[in-house]
Formats: sequence, C-alpha cells, structure tokens
Amino acid sequence: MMDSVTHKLTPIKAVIADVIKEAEDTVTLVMRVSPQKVPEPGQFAMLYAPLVGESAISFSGIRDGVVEHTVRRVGKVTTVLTSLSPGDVIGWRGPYGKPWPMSEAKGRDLIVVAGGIGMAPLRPVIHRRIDEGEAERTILLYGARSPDQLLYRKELKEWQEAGVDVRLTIDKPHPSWSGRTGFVTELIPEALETAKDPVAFICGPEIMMKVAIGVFEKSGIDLSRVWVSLERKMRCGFGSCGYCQIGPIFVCRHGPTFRADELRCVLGW
Amino acid sequence: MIYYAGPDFLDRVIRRLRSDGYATYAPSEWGWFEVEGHFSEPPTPPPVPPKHVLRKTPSLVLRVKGTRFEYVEPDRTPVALIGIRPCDAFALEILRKVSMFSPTLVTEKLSNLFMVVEECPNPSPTCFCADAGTGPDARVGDLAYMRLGDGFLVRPLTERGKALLVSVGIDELAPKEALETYNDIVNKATKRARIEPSPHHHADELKEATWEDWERASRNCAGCGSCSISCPTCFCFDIREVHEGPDEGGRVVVWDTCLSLYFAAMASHNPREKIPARLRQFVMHKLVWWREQFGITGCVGCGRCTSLCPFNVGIITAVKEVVKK
Ligand SMILES: Cc1cc2nc3c(=O)[nH]c(=O)nc-3n(C[C@H](O)[C@H](O)[C@H](O)COP(=O)(O)OP(=O)(O)OC[C@H]3O[C@@H](n4cnc5c(N)ncnc54)[C@H](O)[C@@H]3O)c2cc1C
Ligand code: SF4
Ligand code: SF4
Ligand code: SF4
Ligand code: FES
Repeated sequence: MMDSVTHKLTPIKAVIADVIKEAEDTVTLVMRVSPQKVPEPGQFAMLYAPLVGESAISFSGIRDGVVEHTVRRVGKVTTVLTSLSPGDVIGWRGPYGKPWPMSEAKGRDLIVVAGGIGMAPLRPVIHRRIDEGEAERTILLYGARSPDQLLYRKELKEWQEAGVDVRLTIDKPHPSWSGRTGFVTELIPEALETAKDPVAFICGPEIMMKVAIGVFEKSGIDLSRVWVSLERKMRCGFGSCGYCQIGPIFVCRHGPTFRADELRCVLGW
Repeated sequence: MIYYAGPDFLDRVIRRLRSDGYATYAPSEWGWFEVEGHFSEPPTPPPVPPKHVLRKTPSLVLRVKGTRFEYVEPDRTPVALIGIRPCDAFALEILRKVSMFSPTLVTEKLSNLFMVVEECPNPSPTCFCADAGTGPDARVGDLAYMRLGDGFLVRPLTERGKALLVSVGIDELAPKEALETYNDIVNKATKRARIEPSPHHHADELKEATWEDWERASRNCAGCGSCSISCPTCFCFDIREVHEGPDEGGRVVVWDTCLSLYFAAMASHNPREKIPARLRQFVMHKLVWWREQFGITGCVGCGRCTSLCPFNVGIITAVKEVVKK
C-alpha cells in the first residue's frame, strides 16, 4: 500500500514551552512535541501556523521531549511564528531531510562555517560535539551582519569555555564591536592552519557557501569532506510537491545537506 | 488476440464496470464526463489530461478548527477511464513510478484504476507518441480498442481486461481482413505520430544548451504555465489555506507549475526568476532529469504543451529552437 499525500501532510500538535528572543527579528521556539522519529542535527520540520501557512525550519536544538527551532521573520508565516508565546499551539510535522554526516566528522577536526540564520541548523552540531567530547577538535567560524544579529550570544561563551574554538566576525565595523570584521569566509584560511585534515560543515546565504567551497578547494581540501546545507522553497518536505527540485535532485529528500563536490555538479558552481 | 465487438461494445463494458463499483469517465472536447454508455470519439488527445479527473483541485487535505487538525480521508472510489488515449494511459503508468518515490496527488486512485484505451487512427500534427514509445496503439492499460465502422476491434492487455471481455460475452475473434486493416491503420498512424526534430532524440544537445539557446527557445513564452498544467505527467502541487470563519478552515492542494514566477521564489532569492530558466526547468525535467529520477522519460508525446500554449511554444518548439544553432 502506497502512502498518501493527505496522510503525510497531516500535522501533529506542538506546544510552545518557551520563547527566547535572539535578535530583533529572530526567536528560538522551545516546543514540546512527540515525533515518531528522533530528529538528527541538520534535519528540519514543517511548522504550521494554523490557517496562515507552513515553513520549513531546521532543528536548532534537540533534547529529550523538546525540540528547538530558531525562526527569522521574513514573511507571512515567519511573522506569526516569531510572535508566538508560551502555551500557544501550532502544527508540526517531521523530521525531514538528510542529517549532517556526524559520523564523517567523528574523531576528526571539524570546521563549522555559519552565516546569519545559517547558525541555527549548525547549533545541534556544536552541542553534539561537546557532548561527545570533541569540543577541542571543533572550530566554529560564525559571521553576522551586525553584533546584535549574532544568535545564541550567551551560549557562544559557554561553547568557548567547553573547548570549542569560537571565532566571530561581523560584516562591517560597528561602534559596539571590538572583534573581527569582514566576511566569515575570510576566516577559513586561518582555521585551516590550526585544523588537521578537517571535515567542514557550512550553512548560510547561498553566495557565502559558494565562496566558502571555493576557499576550501583552493586550500587543497578534498570537497568530498565538505558539506553544505541548502535552502530551497518547500511545500511538502518529503518529495511530493516538486517545489524544491534542482535538476534531478529533491532538496527535501536528497538534502538539505549535500556533499560539496556532488552539489557543485548540480548547481554548476 | 484481437476480438470483434459490435456497436454496443462501450455500453456493455461501461455498464459492467459501473455494476462492479467503478465511477466511469470518458474524455471529450470539453473535459472528462461521467458516462453510462456509448460516447463519440474523443479528440487526439483530449485537452484535459487524466490527472485532473483522478484529482480535481483544489482538494481538501486538512480541516482546521482553532488548533484542532483533522485528517481528511482521500476519496478512494475506484475509477475506470474509458476512451483514454494511449499517451495518457502511459502517463498514468509514469505517475505510478513517480508515486513509488513519493506519493503523488493521484496515488490513491492509481491503486484501483481500470483503463479502457482508445487507440489513435488519426494523430494530431502535434502528436509524437511514436517517438516517445507510448502510442498510437495502446502500450499499457487493461483493454484497448479501435473504432472500425460501426464496430470495435478489442485487445485485452491484462488479465483483468480479459476477464471483463469474457464477462460481457465478447468472444468473437476479429476476421483476418479486419486484422489487416487494423495493422494498416496503426502503421500509418505511427508514421504520422512523429515530429522532427523529435524532443526525445536530443538529450545531449539539451544538456549542452547555453543561456542564449534558452532565451531563443523562450522568446515567445509568457510563463503562463498552461504547458505543465495540461501535461499528463507533471506532478507538482501547491498547498494553500482556505478560510471558512475566523479560526476555521483548512488546507487544499492545487496542481501547480514550475513556469510560474513564484514557484521557486524564496525570501533570499529566486533561482529561476527569468523565463528562460523556467522553460528550461520544464523541458529539462521532462526529457533529461526525469530519467535520472525515475528511470523513465517524463514526456509521453501528447503534444499538449505546444498545442495548448497560447504562443505555440511548449516542448516541441522549445527543443526545435535549442537544437537549431
Ligand atoms: C530546509 C530548510 C530549513 C530552513 N531552516 C530555517 C530556520 O532554521 N530558520 C528560519 O528562520 N528559516 C529557515 N528556513 C527558511 C524558511 O523556511 C523561510 O524563510 C520561510 O518559509 C518563509 O516563509 P514566510 O511565510 O515567512 O514567507 P512568505 O511570506 O511565504 O514569503 C516571503 C518570501 O519567502 C519565500 N519563501 C516561501 N517559502 C520559503 C521557503 N521554504 N524557503 C525560503 N523562502 C521561502 C516566498 O516565496 C517569499 O519570497 C529554512 C528553509 C529550508 C528549505
Ligand atoms: S510555453 Fe506556452 S504554455 Fe508554457 S508557460 Fe510558456 S507561454 Fe505558457
Ligand atoms: S511535455 Fe508536452 S508533449 Fe510531453 S507529455 Fe507533457 S504535455 Fe505532453
Ligand atoms: S516540469 Fe515543472 S511542473 Fe512539471 S513536474 Fe517538472 S517541475 Fe513540476
Ligand atoms: S519540498 Fe516538496 S518535493 Fe521537496
């Protein structure tokens, strides 16, 4: 018996347990939800604002009984999602998509490159590395447009204390910022001096990922060890609606995480 | 085996299928209609592809009352498509393959579908089913027939089809002359159901095509989407909200098209903003990427995307322009 679209599109209830304001336009929703499968870092869910619409949102945190989603306001659905309060109920279905290949990074140095909201799907990667005692083999390169756009500001310090090598940058000089400025991709060559034979996970604006892949390649890193997470417009999340296709690929099913060398052929980068 | 059936063939078959619980539909110039008996010969092909009969959209998939989300059981009434053309029957087999990867809007209907296929003595100028390997004689379905004078030449294609014939008492083998006429008609129709350059024979050129080639191919394309909405294999759909009160309503699925501007548009950017990129998506998906995804072509050669295009573009003209150089 083949699955039906209707069945797969029916959401379950998710109760908002807490809302954490991350930036002017961004919140982290902590929610109680009981999916049939435990989500993995890099996967996403479809969050349904009743009678408004659905958005694909990555897991930014995965703990027993609760999941976290960090949402940035860009349009209709995300406006509703970013104005929720504890106790509110929304629709939820998932998890979908291919996780980050954590096992490829196990026992090796990992460079995490994040730009803007692209930090959200990488946060569970950092958590996992710390939990598995690999904080010291993890370098986080994280860039945002301005200091107040840096997400998880309190946690960044904790990660640093746990042993993660956290290197931050913001795009342009700012009165309240004494750290590095410039694009996050400019931090990659330096990180490569520290890291030995590394694996890399990248998520951010498409142009940033394209540049980052180029930098890794120029530095002689085999692109079969570099992964990116791609964003495409999605309606179903499970390979039926056709929206997320790029060439023969369904981003929702074959991705959103892709090996850079494979993605390159498809996108023509 | 080819059987001969008299003028009441369709009456008998349709009555039988209806008493077996099938909803029976036949195509016409104006769409598909529920039929109870004989109907006149449909166009080659009819303007509306069968996917719109198997799933009329908008179609409700979720009922919402406040924060209560209610599953909506899909309609599972068995359907028999009578008079479906060979290309369209093949298209449904293709959608069956697609449904193995992930469910389509017609998955439920495909699992108990009966097809009585009307073969094509008179392909249209835009038909290229012979190039696609899908017609003009039936390749798939349960039963195939061709109108011949007042009567019908009938071929069972499956056990179910054979059983249906037996149950309505059709057991007279077609006479030798009738078989010769049939073969003659099919051979002539096969010659007509080809197009040069054939969309199916230029995958390599399509893969190598440049942006300028696609600009040339799409210079008359308005991005209206008629091509993929009328394509029998296109499976894409949108999900939209419907409102019936302040906190009541639901979600519907709607057949959709990658030719529209908003299809791939995200807050950050639109990877297929320009029309050449969108027409390329349609043509490449049907002729190249579909094979990589599902191991079969996505184009059955019905020609609708060109014949129903307000500007005569579609796959036929697009491929012709791309391979021109
Ligand atoms: C796998 C995946 C993971 C994602 N993870 C996150 C995340 O963790 N946090 C986060 O804030 N955002 C994430 N996004 C992006 C998020 O899905 C979109 O920003 C959101 O759907 C926009 O919906 P909207 O209704 O608010 O905007 P709309 O009002 O619908 O539209 C605003 C604009 O966004 C476009 N749009 C519609 N749907 C999408 C979409 N799925 N992706 C991108 N643009 C879209 C519209 O076409 C329009 O141009 C992710 C997207 C994908 C595909
Ligand atoms: S090819 Fe024709 S039918 Fe298709 S979008 Fe362009 S104008 Fe419309
Ligand atoms: S691409 Fe055109 S010719 Fe081919 S099946 Fe679709 S509508 Fe018919
Ligand atoms: S051609 Fe376009 S509308 Fe048709 S199946 Fe492919 S992506 Fe969907
Ligand atoms: S989001 Fe529907 S197919 Fe990928």
